[in-house]
Amino acid sequence: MSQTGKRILFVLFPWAFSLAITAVFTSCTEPTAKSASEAVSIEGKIANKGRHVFGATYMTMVNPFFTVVDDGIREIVEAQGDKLISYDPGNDQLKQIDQIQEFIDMKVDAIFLNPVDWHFVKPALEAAKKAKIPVINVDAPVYDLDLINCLVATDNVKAGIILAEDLKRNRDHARIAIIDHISAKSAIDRAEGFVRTLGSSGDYNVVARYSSDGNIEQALVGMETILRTVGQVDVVFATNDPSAMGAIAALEAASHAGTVLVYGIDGAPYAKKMIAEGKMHATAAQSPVMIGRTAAEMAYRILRGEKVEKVVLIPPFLINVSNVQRYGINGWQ
Amino acid sequence: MNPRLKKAVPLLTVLGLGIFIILMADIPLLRLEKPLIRVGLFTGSAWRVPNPTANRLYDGIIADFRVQEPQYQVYYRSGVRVQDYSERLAQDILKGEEPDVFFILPEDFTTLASTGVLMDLGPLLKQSAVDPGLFYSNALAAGRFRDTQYALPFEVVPSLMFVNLSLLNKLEMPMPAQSWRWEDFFRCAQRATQDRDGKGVLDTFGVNGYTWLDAAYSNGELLFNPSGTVADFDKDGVVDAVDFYLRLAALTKDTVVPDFETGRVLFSPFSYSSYRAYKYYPYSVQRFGDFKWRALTMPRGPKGKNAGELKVLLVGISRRTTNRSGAWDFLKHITTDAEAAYRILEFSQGLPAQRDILTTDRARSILTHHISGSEEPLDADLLDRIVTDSVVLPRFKKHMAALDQASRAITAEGPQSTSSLRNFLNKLKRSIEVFLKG
Repeated sequence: MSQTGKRILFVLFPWAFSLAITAVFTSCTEPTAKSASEAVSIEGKIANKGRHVFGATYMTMVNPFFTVVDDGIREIVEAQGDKLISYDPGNDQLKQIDQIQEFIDMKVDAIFLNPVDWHFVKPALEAAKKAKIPVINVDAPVYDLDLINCLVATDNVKAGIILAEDLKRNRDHARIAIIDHISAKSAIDRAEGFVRTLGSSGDYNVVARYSSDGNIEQALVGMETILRTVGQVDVVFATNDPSAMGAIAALEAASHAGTVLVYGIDGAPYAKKMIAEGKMHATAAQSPVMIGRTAAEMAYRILRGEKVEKVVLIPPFLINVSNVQRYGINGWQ
Repeated sequence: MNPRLKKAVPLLTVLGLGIFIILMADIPLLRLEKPLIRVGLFTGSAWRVPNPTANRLYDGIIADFRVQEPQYQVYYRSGVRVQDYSERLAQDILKGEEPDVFFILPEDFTTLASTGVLMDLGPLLKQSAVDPGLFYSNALAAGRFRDTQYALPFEVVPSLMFVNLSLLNKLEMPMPAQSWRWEDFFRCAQRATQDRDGKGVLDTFGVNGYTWLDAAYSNGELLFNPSGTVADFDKDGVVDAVDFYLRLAALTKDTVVPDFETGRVLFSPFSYSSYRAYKYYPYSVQRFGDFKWRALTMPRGPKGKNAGELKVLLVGISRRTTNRSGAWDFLKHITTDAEAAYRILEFSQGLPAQRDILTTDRARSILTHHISGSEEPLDADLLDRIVTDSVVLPRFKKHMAALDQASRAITAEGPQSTSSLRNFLNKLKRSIEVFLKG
């Protein structure tokens, strides 16, 4: 750098620094967020002296599946006398990133994460990694698996496969609508397993796809749109039970209920009830309790410095009218 | 370097550092950012029913406020579940870091008002152009504690009675009118309590979940004076209510009445939020799906109206806020803006606390959207009347504990005859008043 350049830098540095700080302060729309988090951190450490504090955030807790995953984690965490703080971003990735940042500011010991969007959660993962906070990814995988410590999920491809096999046993051919969720890898894998297993014989035609974000409300709107645009279908494959329920609501509103085979994934109590009532054909059951408990155990193993498996997959199984009573309709399996 | 510029270098440096220090010290005079309003809210439904559109309600209202009042910035912590909200708010209060303005769940208001956390809104209401007549008067009263207005109402949920239409038709009974009375209710319940298959046990039932409190509120009795020093259990209206409740309970004595969901029960009280969640798609396919049902008003006693308890979600301001005007502008916006009220109708399972919204064409249209089957929604004029006639319970510290004690005594020891009932309630009144004064 020339002498003149150095002089200019010398003269301008304090100004530039002030301006930079001003920019940081004025651009920050949430100036109290950090101080609030710091306070929570202090309070958390005082209240839980020597104990672990964990953070958890799930794509949406309107889906009771995630409430049960959370219960599974909480059961293990609280049995150790530790604390779990759980947040619901309501399917909003920006909110979830804020929540993870709050966990980082609170200096939690580990984060349980079910991402809203498997790609766009990346900045939060990078921030957690930088803060050396382990991330245990539950249910729906993130794209950047190198940024998490462990994934605990259902074998999602297998979930799609067992439903496709069931469909083949029940129908020789079908016009199929898929209610999927393109920002969740779990749903992508489920749909992929389903479509691949049906094959390319031409007997099973996917005539419409609609991404509902795994949300019951959007699935209702999606199914209405499908019925309006492509007309009657024989089969609905929904990548989770809330979406299946949204589709059933739309079919019922259009007086098509009972004539269409509706498949879901989760094995939620309400889905099992609808299977027993003949409104839904089958679901590929997951065990959110087991996912939650396993995720919590993995977190403790990581905190103890043990090496853990990167991916832990739990097999799904079929629940239909022939075996629904065995699993009961009042709770999860 | 130019000598004049050379001389100016130390001056400019000191000036630059000075500005930096001022900014770091956060001196308000020179602060460049907009005044901040910290808002306390939760995710999901205050009424504990599934609400996939809760974010659209709160984000939408806050976005409207940001457009209308661009001089402020608004911050809220997202994602706190409703079941964790009270505890998080309490923690923030203990640390002296509560939000400037925050939502208050119905069960938390008395504690917050009695512990001096909330700002008296009286002077602000007086200064501003807010007309108290904008709100349902009972909803507004829910934010009052010892004659001071500490919070404004945002959303309300009245009580309703669900009727199993399939069972009613099977029993060949006519649909009760919306103006029905206790005696109509009793007759229907008595007729529905049957051993239909002749196996020696009851298999259809009149009612599940109806309490002596439902009877008292629908007879215009609030059970306590407003300050919580007197229990009105000796009043004729309360004696009549308890007598009616015991007569109903006697229909199924020694038998456990199954849930309404089983389809074997004719009536059960539910909140409007349950109606809104489960009478509309998509959740209508999840619950009460295998029989037809409708919502009625609560049956009225001889001195009461066809209504029950009104639950109110309130919003208040922290007494320690450093942004009083911002907090007030925000509170005023969310509780009095008509768009906010329509957002409640569209994205929540409650009803707006603002009067004159429910009966508009726009409200009727929202309430018709996505109702299950070919059903008609509850008539807007009727809903308006139910909200107007509903009762808001007295707000004093020991209210819940006193009700629990009284309920335990009535359900466990309630006498059978009306003459001994009066003595029983007199005794209960005295023991509850001792508890209230203790």
